[in-house]
Parts: sequence; C-alpha cells; structure tokens
Amino acid sequence: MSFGSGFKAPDFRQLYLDFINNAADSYIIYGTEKFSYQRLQQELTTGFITQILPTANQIVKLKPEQSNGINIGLNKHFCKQLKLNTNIYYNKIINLIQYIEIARRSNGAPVYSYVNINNAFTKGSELQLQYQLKKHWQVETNYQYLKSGDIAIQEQLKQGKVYGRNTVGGSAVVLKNNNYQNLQGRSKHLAQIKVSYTKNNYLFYVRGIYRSKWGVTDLDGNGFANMEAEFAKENVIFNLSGQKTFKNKYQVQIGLQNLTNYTDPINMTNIPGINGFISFNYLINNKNNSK
Amino acid sequence: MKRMKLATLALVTVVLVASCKKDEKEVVSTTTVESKTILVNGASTGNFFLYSFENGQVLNSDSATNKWDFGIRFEKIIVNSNFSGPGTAKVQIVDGTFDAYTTAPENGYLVDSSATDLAVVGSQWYNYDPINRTFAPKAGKLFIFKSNSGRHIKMEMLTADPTDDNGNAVVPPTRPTKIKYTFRQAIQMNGARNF
Repeated sequence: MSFGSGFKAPDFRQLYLDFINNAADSYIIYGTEKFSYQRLQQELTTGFITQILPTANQIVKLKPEQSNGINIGLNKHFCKQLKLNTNIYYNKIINLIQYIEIARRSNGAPVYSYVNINNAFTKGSELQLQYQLKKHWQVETNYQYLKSGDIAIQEQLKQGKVYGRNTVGGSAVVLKNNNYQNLQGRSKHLAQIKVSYTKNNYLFYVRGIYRSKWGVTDLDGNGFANMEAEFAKENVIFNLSGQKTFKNKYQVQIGLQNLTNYTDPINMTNIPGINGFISFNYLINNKNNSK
Repeated sequence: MKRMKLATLALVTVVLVASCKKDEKEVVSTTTVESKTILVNGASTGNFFLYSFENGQVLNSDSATNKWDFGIRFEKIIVNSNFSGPGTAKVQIVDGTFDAYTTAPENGYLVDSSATDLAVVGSQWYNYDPINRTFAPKAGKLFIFKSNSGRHIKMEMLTADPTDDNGNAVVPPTRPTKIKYTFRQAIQMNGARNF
C-alpha cells in the first residue's frame, strides 16, 4: 500500500511542440505556446485544415498538474507456475493536463492541443496473471479497468443540469452519471493476452490487445463524449511474431501486425492495417539474455 | 361462483378505468407536435426566412404584417414585434428537454430592441464556426415563443447543416448558400401555458 503526491509541470511537448504527422498524412499537435487562433484561421484559408472546433477557444496558458493518490498492490505466487499481480488505485488531480481536439483536417484527421481540467480523478484496477504451461508454453494476461472524470461535470450531472443527444440531430435528453464514460481518449477496459512458446533459441508469440470504446470529440456542446458518434469504436488487434537467436549475438525477428486488418484511419492513425516486418538485431551485451 | 363474480367485477372496473383514461386524454390534447425542416438563406445579408408556427413559411412580401412569428437568416433569429416587425411575438430560451418541459413561463419573454440587441443571442443556443459556417445546436436549449395569436410554443433546434440551393449538404471548401434547419415544435392551441 502506498500514498503519493506528485507535481508535473507542462512538458516541452505540451508547450512547444508543433507536430505534424506527415508520414501518415494525419494528426497534428500544437503545444499551447505555439497555438494561436489566428494561425488556425490562416490554415483554414489555405485549406490545410477544414474546420475549427468550438474547443479551440479554450486554449490558454497551461498550469502545472498536481496529484494525490493511493495505491494498493498485491502480488501472489500460487505455485511456481502461476503468478498473480493486482493493483487498485485512486488519484485526485488538480489541473490535469488533458489533450483535446481543436480542429479537423481535410482528410478528417484531428488537430490537438492541451487544456487543464481543474479537478479530476482517475481510479481503477490492474490485474496481471502469468501461467507457465508445461515447459515451453507461457500464457500472460493483463486487464485494466479505468474510471476517470472531470469532477465539476459529474457534480452537474448529479444535479440533472447536463444535456446531450443520443444521436446526431436527435432530441436532447437530460444525461445521468452513467452517460459519462471517462475523460476523452481513455478506455474503460483494456485487456491483453499473450501466448508464447520458447524452445532453444526460438521464441514465438501471439498477442491480442482489446480496447473498449474511447471518447474522441464533442458534438452536442456538453464538453464530453456521450453519443456513439463521439467515440472511437472498441477493437481487438492481433500480432504474431517469431524470433531466432544465433550464437547469443544475432537475432532475426519476423512478424505480422494487425492480423485481422482492423483500421480506423481517423482515430487510430498509428495502426495502418495488416503489415509484416523483419528485423535483425545485434546484441552488444547479452549476458542478461543468454540462457 | 363468488370468485367468478369478483373476476367479472374486476374486469368491468378495468374496462371502465381504461376507457375513462382514454377519454380524459382526448379532452386535454390540444397540443400539436410537429417536426419541421426549412431551408433558409445562408448569407449574412438578404431576406430572412419568415415563419409562422401555424401556417409555415410566410412570403417576404408579407414582412410588414403580423402573419409571421419569427424570421431566420443564416444563424440570426428575429422575432416579429417591437424593432423587427408590427406583430406581438416574443421569445425566451430556457434549459430543458422537449418532452419534459410542460409549462411555459408566465413572464420573461423578450423582444428585439435594436439591430444589435436581439431577443435571441446566438451563443445561447449554438456552437458556431464562422468560417466554415457549421453549426451545432446545443443540447438542452428550448425556445419558448408567445406567437402573434397569443399561443405558447416550445421549439427545439435539432440540426443546422450547410447546404446548396437544393438542400444537398456541402463541405468546405464549397461555400454553402443555404442552411437547412430541422426542429420540433409544439403549439398549445387553447392559449394555456401547458404542453
């Protein structure tokens, strides 16, 4: 069990980054010191971006983030083959630094910057299970549950003062606390399973990663994601890889990423669809790696 | 036998209660609820789209009459009274949802005072991007009108989409010439304030 408190000044990225992911012709991040509304308007006239969202008006100087938290962890070895790690935590954060979408590009890709959320919390649990099946097989599972939120919005929800729509253009309804999912960009559930096979100098594994839906934008003016169109869809990504080590020095790895070819070009620009790779590694100091 | 009698009695009661309820509803129901789609001028100059809650679109040649209740052009809403027209229509914006909002306020209705001091302030009811001319009506904002005929109306804006002259959606860099609004309205026909 541990208590902690932290202080985090805005980092270089959040203040000064001026990042355009040209390779994927996709998202842009503007640090708050680099941001200006005039600049967005200029980019709009040149066609570099196509839409400025109302949230662009919220960008001001970032304040440092302060947090206080409690964390309880439990590690247990049931037997030699079975290991369990669990962890539950609660953090209260003042001036949480959160990225938000402030504009859109012509291909629909987002433009981001950062804001402070005066009072926020994150709470959740982590569960990790490792199981050594026979000699060569190992199964590793990870699960994370996360609940986070803006405390001011949650108070207003309790009082029945927050409205939203269930569909784009649908009638407005009073939202309840259970309509509020999480801070933008955060999934409630994350799960991972990895099955690996090791023998001699060979290592094979298959890994599945599940991520439940996460909020990406606000279309009904209440400041958070509540209707389906404001979320990125839940998905599972599978990766497969095989590796051989020669003479404890050289490694050849081949793999296939995103086996099911899942893509979401607007919200998951880092996942390009199914792709393969081959890599060669030379291990300079492999004492820790050799068996 | 006794049981059967009881059962019959119960059945009769149910029928009576059910039919009573139905009758009551029919008497009270003087509110007409409708969904509307209108295509209005998408420029900041030129004619307003004039609208009557009871009769729909009103010709611009009738702009100097009390036939229309409100006018809309681009994102600007005017109300037919005082500065904007010879009528007696008034409006106010309240928080609430269309179905749950059942009684119009007695007071607090506003009129247009001047070209720059209008009853309806845009930022109250929409998020707007002036350059792309895209709107997002805020959820939970209701317009409560008192029409020229003295009737109370509740209205909820649902969408405001940029379109061409034929009402087909356009995206930048194509400039929209019209704005297509969809809204819901409920008119209390008997002059009372409840919906």
